[in-house]
Amino acid sequence: MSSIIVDIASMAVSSNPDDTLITYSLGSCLGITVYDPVVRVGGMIHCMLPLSSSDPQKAQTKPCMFVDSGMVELLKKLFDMGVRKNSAIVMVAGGSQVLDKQGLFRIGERNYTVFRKILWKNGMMIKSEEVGGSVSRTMKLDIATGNVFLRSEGREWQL
Amino acid sequence: MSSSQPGIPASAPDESIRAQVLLAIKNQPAPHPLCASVLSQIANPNADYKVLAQTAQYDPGMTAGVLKLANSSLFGTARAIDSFQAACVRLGMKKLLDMVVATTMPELLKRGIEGYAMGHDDLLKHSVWVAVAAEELARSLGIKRQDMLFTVGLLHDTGKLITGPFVKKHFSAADYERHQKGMAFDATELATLGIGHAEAGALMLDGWHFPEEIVTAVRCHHEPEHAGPYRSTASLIHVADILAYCIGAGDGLDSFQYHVSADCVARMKLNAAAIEGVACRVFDRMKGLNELLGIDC
Repeated sequence: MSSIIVDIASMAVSSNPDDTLITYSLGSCLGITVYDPVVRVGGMIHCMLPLSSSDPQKAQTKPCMFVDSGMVELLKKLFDMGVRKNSAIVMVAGGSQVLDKQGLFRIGERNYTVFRKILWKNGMMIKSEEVGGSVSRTMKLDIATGNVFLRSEGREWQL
Repeated sequence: MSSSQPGIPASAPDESIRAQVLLAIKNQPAPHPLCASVLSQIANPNADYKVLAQTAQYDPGMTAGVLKLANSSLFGTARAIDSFQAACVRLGMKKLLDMVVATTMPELLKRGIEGYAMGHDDLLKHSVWVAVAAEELARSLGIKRQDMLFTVGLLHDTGKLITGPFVKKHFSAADYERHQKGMAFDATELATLGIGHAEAGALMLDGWHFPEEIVTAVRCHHEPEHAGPYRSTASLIHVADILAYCIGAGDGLDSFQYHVSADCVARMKLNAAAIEGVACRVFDRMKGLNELLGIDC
């Protein structure tokens, strides 16, 4: 069994049942998993900011930094590997918030809003989510089963 | 200086715990001799560069590290610097301090801190991210380059090395619950230990003879409005600190448990696009710095 670490502003896809995709330190960032149980192919992305328009040049070289360009990349790659929209299971975690009354640092909330819009445009739904609050999370996707696990504040559970 | 959250009673801190924290600060080992040497000369307008170069020659490895950093594209000097004495002359004492702190402090900052649930390297990753973000933020706001800003960023949370064991020992489930309910972590530290990590760090750095600007900005990085003449530096660190937590740069138990200063945000005229732009640029600079400072990615 091998663990593939998905760094910040990166993604990974796999069809190897021995693989586990894992991403750490999800604060305001979003960790998103897409898994198709029919073809047993899955992918994970760790996006930092909502919109690629905030740095179009960066979006060219590092599309996974942003939720909008990153999701396009992830879905394109997974569809190429045989994943179908109708059977794809989407889960999301992260989007935490600091204690900010002014709302300037609501990066997590903005990330989540953009993510929901992209899914809606693609006719896809979220199956499970663990979003918001004020904690840091680790997310794991088991390619053999499609199970997603979260770890935060010393606890681990299945999403 | 932190205020209690309305509706959440804060019990009086145990003075004996504060005394133990102060003793722990006093018992901290001295900084690296090279760092101590620069600090001893920094306030001196006639700094003796020969004395510094003599100290440097006893630690060629560390000196090489300082020169490597000074010559890296990340700190951008126009011409190559090939000796410590040349670095003193060309960079000036304040910029030299940035380099020396960045070279000598990472070993200390790599320690895990159990009380804050920070693993090996977490404090270093967070600190470097804040240092770089503060510089990028200053640039994006058109604030003139501030000497020693990088050092403040790197050292802003050193107090956690002191308070960490006390947080682990004295924070009860009720304390954790208090901050879950919206009481900032620094206020909980103050209520429980009688001293917060920012104050502890400032006292440690003051004991090491760091300049007042650095000590004050570290002390006030969660309440920059109290930093007096050093408010600008403290504000840049405050915003960079919050942004680092959002991005998940070296996070710990307290990551999302600090209040954003409304005064600071209003004064700096910050908007979401500006801080997101800063986050993008920091991402690029971090790649090179991680390698230079020996951070495991």
